[in-house]
Amino acid sequence: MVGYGTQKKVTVTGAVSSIKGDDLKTAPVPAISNSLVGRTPGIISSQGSGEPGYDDASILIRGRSTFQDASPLVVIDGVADRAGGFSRLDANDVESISVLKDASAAIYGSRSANGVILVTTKRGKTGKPTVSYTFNYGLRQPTRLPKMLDAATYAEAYNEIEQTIYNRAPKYSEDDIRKYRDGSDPIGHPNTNWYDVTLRKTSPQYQHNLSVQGGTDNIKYFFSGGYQFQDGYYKNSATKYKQYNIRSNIDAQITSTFKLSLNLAARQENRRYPHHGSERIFNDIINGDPKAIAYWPDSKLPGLPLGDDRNPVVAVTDAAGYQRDDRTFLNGDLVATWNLPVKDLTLTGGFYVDKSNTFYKNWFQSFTLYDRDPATGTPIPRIYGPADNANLSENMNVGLGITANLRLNYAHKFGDHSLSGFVAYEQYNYSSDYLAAARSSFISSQLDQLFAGNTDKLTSYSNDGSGTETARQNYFGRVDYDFKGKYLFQFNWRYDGSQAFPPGSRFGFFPGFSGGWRISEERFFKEAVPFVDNLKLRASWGQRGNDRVAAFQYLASYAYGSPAVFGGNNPANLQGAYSVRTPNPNIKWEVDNTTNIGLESQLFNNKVNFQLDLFQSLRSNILTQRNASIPQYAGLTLPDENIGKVRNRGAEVTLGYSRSIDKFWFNVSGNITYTKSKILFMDEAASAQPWQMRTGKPVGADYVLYNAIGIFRSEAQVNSTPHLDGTKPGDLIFEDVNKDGVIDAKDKVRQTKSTIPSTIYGVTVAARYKNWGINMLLQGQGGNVAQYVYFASGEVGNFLQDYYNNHWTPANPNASGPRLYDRETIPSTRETNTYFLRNAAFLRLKTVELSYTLNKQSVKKLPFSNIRLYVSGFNLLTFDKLKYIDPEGQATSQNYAGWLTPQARIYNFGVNANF
Amino acid sequence: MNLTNKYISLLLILGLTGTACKKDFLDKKPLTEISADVFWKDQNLANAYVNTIYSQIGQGFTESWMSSVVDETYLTWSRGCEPITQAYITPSNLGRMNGAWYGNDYRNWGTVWANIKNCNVFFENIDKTTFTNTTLKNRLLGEVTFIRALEYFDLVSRWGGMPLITKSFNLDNVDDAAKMVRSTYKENVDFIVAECDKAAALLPVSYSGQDIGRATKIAALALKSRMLLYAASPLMNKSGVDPLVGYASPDAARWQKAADAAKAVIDQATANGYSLYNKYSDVKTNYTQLFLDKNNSEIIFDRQNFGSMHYLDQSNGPNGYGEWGGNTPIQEFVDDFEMVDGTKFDWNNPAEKKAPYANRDARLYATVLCDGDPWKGRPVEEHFNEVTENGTVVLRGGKDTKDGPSSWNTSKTGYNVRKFLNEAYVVDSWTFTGASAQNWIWFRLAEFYLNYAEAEYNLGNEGEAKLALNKIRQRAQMPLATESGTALWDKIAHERRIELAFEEHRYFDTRRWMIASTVLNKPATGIVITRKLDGTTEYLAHTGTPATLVEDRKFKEANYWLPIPQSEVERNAALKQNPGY
Repeated sequence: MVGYGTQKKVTVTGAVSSIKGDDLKTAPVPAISNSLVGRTPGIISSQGSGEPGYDDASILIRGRSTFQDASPLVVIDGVADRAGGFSRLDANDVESISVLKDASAAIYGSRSANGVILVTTKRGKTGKPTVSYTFNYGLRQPTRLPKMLDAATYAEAYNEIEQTIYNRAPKYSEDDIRKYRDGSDPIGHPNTNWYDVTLRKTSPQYQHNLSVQGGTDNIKYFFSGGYQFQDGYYKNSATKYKQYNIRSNIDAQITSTFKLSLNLAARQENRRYPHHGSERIFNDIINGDPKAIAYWPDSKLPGLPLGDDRNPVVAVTDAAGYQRDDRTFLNGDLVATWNLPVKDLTLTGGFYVDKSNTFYKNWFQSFTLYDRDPATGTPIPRIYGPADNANLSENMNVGLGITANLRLNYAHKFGDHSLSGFVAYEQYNYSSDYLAAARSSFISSQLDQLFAGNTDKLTSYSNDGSGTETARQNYFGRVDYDFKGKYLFQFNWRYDGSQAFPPGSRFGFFPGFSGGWRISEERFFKEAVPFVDNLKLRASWGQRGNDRVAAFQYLASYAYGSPAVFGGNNPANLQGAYSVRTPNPNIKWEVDNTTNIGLESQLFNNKVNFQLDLFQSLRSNILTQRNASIPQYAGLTLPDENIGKVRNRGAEVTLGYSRSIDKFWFNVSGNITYTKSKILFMDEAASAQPWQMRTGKPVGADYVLYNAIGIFRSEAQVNSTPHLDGTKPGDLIFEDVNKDGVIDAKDKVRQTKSTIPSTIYGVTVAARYKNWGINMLLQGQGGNVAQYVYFASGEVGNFLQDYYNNHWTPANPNASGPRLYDRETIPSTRETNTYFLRNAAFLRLKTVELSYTLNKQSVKKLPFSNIRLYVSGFNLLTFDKLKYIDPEGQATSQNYAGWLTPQARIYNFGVNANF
Repeated sequence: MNLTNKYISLLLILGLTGTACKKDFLDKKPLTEISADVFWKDQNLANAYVNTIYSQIGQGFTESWMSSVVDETYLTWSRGCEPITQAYITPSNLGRMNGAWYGNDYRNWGTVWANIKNCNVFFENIDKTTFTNTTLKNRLLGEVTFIRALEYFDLVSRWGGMPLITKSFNLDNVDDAAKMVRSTYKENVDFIVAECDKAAALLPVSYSGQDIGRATKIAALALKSRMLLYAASPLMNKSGVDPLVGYASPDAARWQKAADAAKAVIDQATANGYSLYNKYSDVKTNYTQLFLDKNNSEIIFDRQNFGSMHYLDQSNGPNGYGEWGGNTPIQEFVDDFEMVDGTKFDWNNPAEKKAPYANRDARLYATVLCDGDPWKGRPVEEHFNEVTENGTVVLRGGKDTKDGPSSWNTSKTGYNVRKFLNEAYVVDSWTFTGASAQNWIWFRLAEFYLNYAEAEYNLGNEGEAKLALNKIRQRAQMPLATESGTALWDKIAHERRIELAFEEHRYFDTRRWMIASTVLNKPATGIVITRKLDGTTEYLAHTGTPATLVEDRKFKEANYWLPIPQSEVERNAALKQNPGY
């Protein structure tokens, strides 16, 4: 697949790679965005959270060249930015995914600078219908949970904090600690492992899919229906994900010159969560006090909250209410192709309707946790939850996108020359409407519907609503020329207009050129190196745009908001209005000048496959705010300005080997992508320290930290070394970078490490022997990738076992770690520093599938034409140095580690039967 | 090609070109915004714009109160007080003083400047508005003039002289802004005072109905009084001071201006129906209701609230009631409440030590929750009981100690705040706001009697000073002050500490009087209360041991002023940093 058409791989002149739908199916995950990384070069992707329904991966193509949204454009069956996106497509419906990484993307104009992902769904084929049924059953568990202290050790840590940080008396007596340790007083001195009481060992997920594919010469069809279910990690989990999807792709040859295709797809995604968010829940069970009661041992009733109103064993259920996040997506396409009565010309017209509907509901009700009378042991119920007994908020968003295009295609062959191309017009408009309503003070929690709320309109009702509109209009085309299939040339372009920019500068021209030379088609070459089946050199250059910024920044306008209260004892909220922004009348899109040189080859009867791409992308006019140089006292609400400049360079290598020996077939293929971005210009403060400047550093190098260069071992050492106020032995030594004898903010250093890996790689191994098959993906990342792994521990917040076991004390002066902290109260934790910045490089067995196939040839009585049984896994093994949390996450210094739902390890069993 | 075929194609082409030919296809407008040229024509929208300016005025009820960085309270959990209390504040770490978090205080450097810009934009556009009556226009002009002066005062009182900006900037002229320098302290004071005079001339003395809470003439005079009191103070009038943070020429005559300004507030206020709140004969009830009875006769200006601005009650009530025990009075503060007979409380007096909360200035009971105080249907339990368990005597804490629920929310001082709190508040762990709708009071009449007393004392008019001071003592049913000389000054300073506790005066008073280097440079302590088996109660305070230590506090000379935020100095190197940073 290429933009607006298909091309044979041998004649492709751009940097385009593809993944087959079948490969996606080997990963037993509901979100297929998780299945791309490692399978093809150029995709840099990671999964930040394992929460069902919110576990999609974030994807970058060839890294990040902008400070703005760097996510690629997704095109599904020829239409950009479709409702529902691609991540939740049923893997069984996907024919292939192609990635446009260079000038070949320029045909998508001002949305193409971050690369383009083209998704093609399956279509009918002429022949006997194939009915295919697939079932998967999987068991999920967190890949990793940090090991925390038990109650007795945590009590000791607490005492140590009181003494060493606050110079106060210890809180827990020797006797207390003994009881926490020996379990002799499970009521007064419990020892709770929050993971054990809150999480299941494994949680189920499953998936059904039934599809029919077939057709005649005149009518071809592909029908498919699927259902997926995924459970949360929790015991009595309120978290659940369900998905229903259907698709019908029909191609009808109406007359000999007229073809109509009708694609209809519908998907329903139902998400359910407890009232409390997963970040709170995971923060509670990781950092939660092991000295607190989960369930009272005698009454088995849940104990009092760890914080606010949260006892994790109850917070994960729907006792306090629930959140519902339902999304409906409908995609309808009608595409007509007419072979014009003029020779070599065809006309294609498409009309595409994308409808989305999201519904969110949050029900919060009172619930009971229990205290216990110490004298009698009687449970004392305590009501938690909303002060108004129960309340409900709901919101809906309906969106409608309509795309229409018309394309005139030309294809002609004369002698050794072939020429083809098209010109096209496309327009798109989108509108959405948002409506929200809430009621409070339900007298009972029996009915969780809006009408059942309190009838006092003044105090219990609230509502909200707004709308948006966007539009695009553009002209585009392509010319392909080749001579003897040897010399290849392509030119594509788009004249793209977006409503986001001011009148007069809405349209931009984005050209892409590419050429290829199939050296292997030259006679001299064939004679000289006969073992080379194919060798192609290709090069491309193009300009691509990025307009993913807030629209209308050229307008000076005002909005309602920030109301003020007046009225004394009879207060009223009176409407306010504010200036939305300081306008930028000159705003336009970012421009990406992209160059790619590639070499691809197949050798030894296609047994060896090799591909190399070198690329550079020079992004200018990057939209960013001058917030580093414009003083805040100027009072501006800064708009984006086209001032940034980034260079991004890199290389991709793919090497594959495949072989068939008798009944044994195997394929090993590895790919590696390296990208390095460098900020050539961005807004900097006039007198910032050179080592804190962004300019010269990669995009995403956001950590500005003190360099921790050791641990103070003695009072004398503290006194003789520059240090922050409050530093004591056991604190980290921060580097005095400017050597002025004082540690202050000037000594912070911008780190080269970021959450974006500079190297990403994958190795796929596939093999078949008789009826057995294996398909495996090893995937990893490296380079300057890091996570800020700091846990908010202290008097509120349990410690990592590792931290505690290695912390500095006067008795353990040579410890490998610093002293105990109480959250951000000591210099070592008050200031973010490199001690907590951990290398997030990893290699993991991302997916593995082992299968056995039975077919009619081997088992005559089989009611199926074939049946395939398989076991598969996801994230089964991980090798890394991060230790405490999953290295694929993206913990930054702003987010404490352990807030996000851990990524999943999945064990799966599946069956696929074809009739 | 057949006929059907032709029609289909024709329709397709027509359908597409039909929509495509619409010229304005890309001419979309945001559906949620009003364009500037239309906006300013409408007086209702101009009025709404001014409402938003009100909504950005600072308030003090964040999780960390300003009182927790001075010798009034200690904050139980880390919310940025330590950089100030432990004197490690730096230009890149101003802690809660540059925008306190968890509950917006609207006092962040950028937020205050953004509101000054809002005001400047108003002045630049208001002449475009068609008003149906000029009274409204004048009122709005007066209100915005007052608010801009208030925002400037907020900056100047914390940082000293600021660049004086009276126009708004845009992308074309923002480079001019980036080259600005700080004006002197004197220029800032003169500007604020002149703006207050301008506002006072435009504003009415009071409002009714839904306009209650808008700025009045009295509010403008009140701001002027506080500015001139600060400007007359020792910190700004010591010799050799940097003109950015004080007067190049110290002048005792500045007290006269301060006295006149305070007198003007008292005279104008009392002539227009304002009075010291005295609704209840019981001092405790009266002093409690003063802060809950909204816009009562004493309130001159406050930031109005109705339940979404803060969660004062949830943050500060004792842990035993399911609240979070945040800002907790320290022993040094509690000790400073006089005995009801006007003498000082003394730990060395055996009778007073035995019952330290008995017979005190009744404002103590309305300001601090002490052990045994009645609260929400039961006495506060800040004490530990000696009990015999399995033959040994052990200590078991009461409901509001660390042995009570959520021990991380336990007061470490043995006290909780009472002032401002609404006893009717019900724990609400959803929004935490519940019934917390208290207004943040910027100016109330009592302050101006004390401002006047201070200024007159410094002018040598002890009689006038005493008269004003005793207005406040009389309302608190405390014996009238009869002292003179420094003993009288001690009484005036004492009265500000007690009467205006937690109202964000102490931070500035300890600085402008230059006493911070002593009173803020020593440990903050708490109390340990034990009910013995024999029925007696032991109060342990000032032991000098870890048992009663709460925080070891420090103060450095530089801390008299806040440092200008580092990022701002980096943006404009010509913006001079304050001395000592």
